[in-house]
Amino acid sequence: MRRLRLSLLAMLLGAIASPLLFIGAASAQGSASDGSVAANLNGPCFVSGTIEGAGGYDPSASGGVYTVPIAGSASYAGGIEISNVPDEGRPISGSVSVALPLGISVQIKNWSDEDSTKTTDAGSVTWDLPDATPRGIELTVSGNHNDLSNCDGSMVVKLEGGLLDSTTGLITLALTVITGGLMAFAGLPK
Amino acid sequence: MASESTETSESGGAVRGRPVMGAVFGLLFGIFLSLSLLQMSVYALDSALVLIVPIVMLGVGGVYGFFAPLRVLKR
Repeated sequence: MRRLRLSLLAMLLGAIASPLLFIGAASAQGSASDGSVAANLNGPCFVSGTIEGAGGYDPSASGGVYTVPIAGSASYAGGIEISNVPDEGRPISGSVSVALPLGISVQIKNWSDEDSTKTTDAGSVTWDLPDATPRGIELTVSGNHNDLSNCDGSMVVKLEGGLLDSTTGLITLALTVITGGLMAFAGLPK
Repeated sequence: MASESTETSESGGAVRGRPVMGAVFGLLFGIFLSLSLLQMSVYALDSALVLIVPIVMLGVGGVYGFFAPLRVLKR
């Protein structure tokens, strides 16, 4: 009985400690998500977008953090300010990638053309992500475009919401509390 | 758990901790804590803290399990 009481106490300590850790970490967050990150777009390129109901996005004005709704539509426009584009076209290439820890990145889109004559592009996209998609994860998205002049830039985007707004987040929180409690249990002598 | 530490208490009795259990659950706790902090936008996905938090918790859990500080509750 005493053993059971101690185990329950250890689990309770873990359950209490985990949210406290979260609150402490969140209070140390500072200005990371206030949208005042310095602009990060180099070269003669320009790009901007407007998400319906969420406002405009312009990495030449701010590098982020930009919050994107889990479902919606957006229009975008971009281009490069160059002169003397050959009539027969010129080779271009580029890519967009998401940064991971240790300098690793995953390429999510790329393009290339051996005889492109375009200097601008525009369009629209729509999306509707599943409810289980984890929210609030800040992704550093980098892009580059190789042309007669090269451009590169990056911005930080995240899905609207936080830990408690998705099934995945709630499961993560539950597993954090459970494993925290089990770790606390390891502090009991055998 | 398979591995346990043994030390002698002030009263002379053996006190056994659970360093492997502490390390394993410390690592798991660190992984889920790191995932939770990511979803709270505390740091970005490319931050080294994504990996540092689980590794630190692995060490903390192992040391915590080895010394078994909750032995006072058993007295």
